[in-house]
Formats: sequence, C-alpha cells, structure tokens
Amino acid sequence: MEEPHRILVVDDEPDLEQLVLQRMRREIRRGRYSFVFARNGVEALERLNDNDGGEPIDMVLTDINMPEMDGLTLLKQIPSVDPNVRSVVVSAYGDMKNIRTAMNRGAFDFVTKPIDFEDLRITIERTLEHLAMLREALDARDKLVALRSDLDLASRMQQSILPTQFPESPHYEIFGGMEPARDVGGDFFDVIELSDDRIGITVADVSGKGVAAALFMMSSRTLLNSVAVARANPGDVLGEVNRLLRPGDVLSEVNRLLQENNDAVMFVTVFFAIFDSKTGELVYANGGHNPPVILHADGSSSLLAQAPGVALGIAPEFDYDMYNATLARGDALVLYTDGVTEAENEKTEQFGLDRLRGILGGSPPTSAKEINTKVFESVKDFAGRAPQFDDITCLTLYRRGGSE
Amino acid sequence: MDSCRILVVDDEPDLEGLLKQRMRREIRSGRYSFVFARNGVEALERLKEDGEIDIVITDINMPEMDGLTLLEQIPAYDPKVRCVIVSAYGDMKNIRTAMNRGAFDFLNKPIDFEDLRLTIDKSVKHLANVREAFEARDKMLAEGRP
Repeated sequence: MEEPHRILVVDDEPDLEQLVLQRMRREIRRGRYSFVFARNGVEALERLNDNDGGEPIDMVLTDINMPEMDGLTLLKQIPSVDPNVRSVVVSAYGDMKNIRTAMNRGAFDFVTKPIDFEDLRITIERTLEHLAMLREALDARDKLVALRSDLDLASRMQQSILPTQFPESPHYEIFGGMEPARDVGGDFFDVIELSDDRIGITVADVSGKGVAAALFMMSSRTLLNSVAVARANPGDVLGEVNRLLRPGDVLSEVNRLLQENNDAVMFVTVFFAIFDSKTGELVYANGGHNPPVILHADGSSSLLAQAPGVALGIAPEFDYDMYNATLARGDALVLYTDGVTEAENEKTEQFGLDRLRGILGGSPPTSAKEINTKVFESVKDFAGRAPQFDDITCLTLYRRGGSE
Repeated sequence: MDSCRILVVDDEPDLEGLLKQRMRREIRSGRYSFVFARNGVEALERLKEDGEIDIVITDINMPEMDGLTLLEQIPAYDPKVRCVIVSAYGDMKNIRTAMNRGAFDFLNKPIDFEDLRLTIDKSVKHLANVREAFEARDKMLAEGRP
C-alpha cells in the first residue's frame, strides 16, 4: 500500500491538534494522511530537519501568529530545509494583508479560521496532486541525466576498443576509422594479427542505437577477436561467434540497466576475412554485411564475390561458408558499413555504392590511409549540412608491390 | 528572465489602459507582454490563437463566461498556463472557490501593482520549474528507448 502523505501542522493552540485528528480520522484510518505537530516555527523546522526517522514531510499547514517564530517567517525558511515541501497558511478570516504576504512568500494556498474542513480537504488534495506531478517530472529529469551519462560512457567505451595502431608490414598496409553518429551506434572494425604473416580483418554493424547497441557491439567484438585466433576458417569463426553471441543474454543485461522492456531483436552484420600477406590469398565469410570493394592496380574496381550468409544473432545454427579470392599486388580491399553508402545529403539522396566506386576508381591505389581518408572526406562533402544518422566506418587493406 | 506573456480578462476597459500605464517599464524592456480579452469566451479564443500565453489574469464577474467557469476550461486548452483570479477585496467565498478550482493565486481590487508584479514573477518562476521538469520527462521518453 502507498505510504500516507505526511502533513506537519504548526499551531501554538493545542486545540487544533485534537480538531484535526478528530475531523480527519477517516483519512488517517484509511492511511491517506498522517499528521505531525509542532507548536511554533522553530519546532516546525526541527521536525522538517529530523522527522524522528519517519517518512519525509510532504506539506506544512501553519498558523500565522505564534511565539518564537511566526508562520510568515517559517514560510521563508522552509525552502532552504526542503525545497519540495509545499505550505498552506491558516489565517484569520479576511486578513488580506497576511494572506497576500504569505502567498507572495511562496505559500501554495491558504485556509481561513474557523477552518472549513471541506475546504481544507480540497486544499490538501490539490497540494498533494501538485506535488505528485512535480515529483514525477523531477524523477524523469534525474533519470534523463543518468541516461545521458550512460550513453556518454558507452560512446567512450566504444571508441576506446577500436584499433588506432595498425600492424606494419613490407607486404601490406592497413588503415581504418569510425566516425560515430551523435547517438551511440554499433559499428566496429578490427585487425587481428595471426600467425604465419596472416591477419584477420573485420567490419561489423550492430542493429539499433544507444546503450543496448554499444553493449552488443562490445560483446560481438570481443567474441570475434578471441574466436578468430583459434580458427583458420572464417566460416567457422562466424558460426562459432554466432552460437556464442546469444543476444538474449546481452539483452537481459541491457534491460536490467535501462529498466525497460526491450523486445527489439538485436543482430550484427559482420564481414570477416583472413589475409595471407605473403600469397595475397583472402579467405572470407559474410554474415549479411555489405560487399567489400576491390580496387585494382589498373584503376578499375569490382565487388568481392558475394558470400551469402545471415546476420549474426538471428539463426543460432546457421553454417557460414568460406570463400576464396586473391588480392593481387597493388590491389586494395575496401570494407565499409552502410553508414557510408546510406549517408544522406540535404536532398535526402544517398551516397550509394556507385558513388563510392566512382570516387575511388580511375587511378591505381597507392595507400590504404589515403583511400580511407578519401572515403570519409567524400561522404562528409556529400552530406553537407545534413545530419549524420549512423556510424560511418571504413577499413582499407592495400597489398604492396604493384607498379610502385 | 525570459519574457512573460499575460492574458488579461476583464469586461471593464479601464484595466487595459491602467496596466499599460503602470507596467510600461516592464512592457518596454520586453519582460511582460499583454493580450486582452473582454470575457471568458474571448479569453479561450485568444489562448487558442496565440499559443504563447504563460499566465491568465481574470476578473470574476463578466458577461458570456465568468472567471470561475473560465478557470475550469483553461486546462483543456493548455494545462501549463497558470491562472490568477482578481476578486473584490476580501471576497473570501469567490477566492476560495477559485483556489479550489486550480487558480495559482489571486489578487484583490483595487489592484496593488506591487502585489501584481510579485505574483507574476512568482508564477513565471514556478512555470519555468514545471516546464523544465516536463521537458526533461519528454526527452527521457524520446531518448530512453534503446
């Protein structure tokens, strides 16, 4: 049951205490109100400060003329003790001067003597209603502050786990970046150094936004990283990550954090490849991610042969097939997320895969960093002042040793 | 403090002139701006067409729709508007009725302009707190979805 609303009654005449307890007996019995009494302003402040370990006081009903500290002085003091307490003043009938002074000192309302208990009931209910509305809104404000700090933390964690240093090799150059959207998204990329001059490369995009997407992205990335080291077949890597991912576990944790039901299905699209830097062989598997672009040494471009597969987190028993390709010397492989191809300009046109191939083609690739930088700059120029709705991620692998 | 838009409702045209004269400093500095209506029906029309009224200050006795009826109608037009009733001096019965119908405060006739200023400023401060809290709630609802 709901706790009774606590009302502090302040009057130097003891009669009022008996009268209130008698006339409000039904409300007291039903547990709607409970009363605390004080004999003057000083006592009232003490009660507000230390309520004998009881529930906090919601409202004060105070007389005006009292010894030690009168009601009008008490009114001025109350906000510094508890700004969320509301006060109602009891004045002599028609004592306009004191009533106006009380109202202008922040009294929520007033009643006159002799007290009309029907009026008092309405006044108390109206005061409590106002307090409930204000508290609900204040709670929401506190939650908003907490949620923003969660999002901020999630965003910083997301950024901090992305690689900023890349392996150096005489055989290849690799460079990646991610431009986060304002709301925390769930893109990531990774470069994993394996044995025998091989590297694992991945680009992924978690569905949804916010703290949930960030947590899902972090668990996906961690799983992928640890499984990739143990498995030679990219299809097996995706299959095992898919089985281990168990989005339900992540979601229940997210739900606990947000204290909200989330029945959104979470999934992550992942492209994963293992590149043998000596031979240029590329073995890869694709969990529903955008097809990477190959830039050839002659200035032309093509799409890496499609490797059909569903996004991870949807079908636990899905088997991901492995595909082969070879990156010739002087070729570059460009991995990206839909934040690149679906970036919109002010006319809500999309950047598109053709435009991506257009800006990268025409001349032979010479550097992974240069290509990657060109992708980000082109998307930024294209978008103009249109807002960025999604994370933009691009990872480029360049095989050295062409015509340079 | 931001500017405050006040709808004054009275069937006697004198009040309009008096307010414009006594509040000229506040009007000139942009702190207060006033809109006027002659009765409750006109007041509700103003509320609807203006859309930026913060406070309604209304007389009680008026033709077509009186102040106490207007008081009951206002929340349906804009629940965030705060209403102050102007009563005859010491007319306790009407003042209590108005307060119990949700008036934020009341004023006596003849209007004490210092009291009016304090009452307006108090209402504005109160409104700012309420709005801030409700805006936070609305944002919370918008951002809280994962």
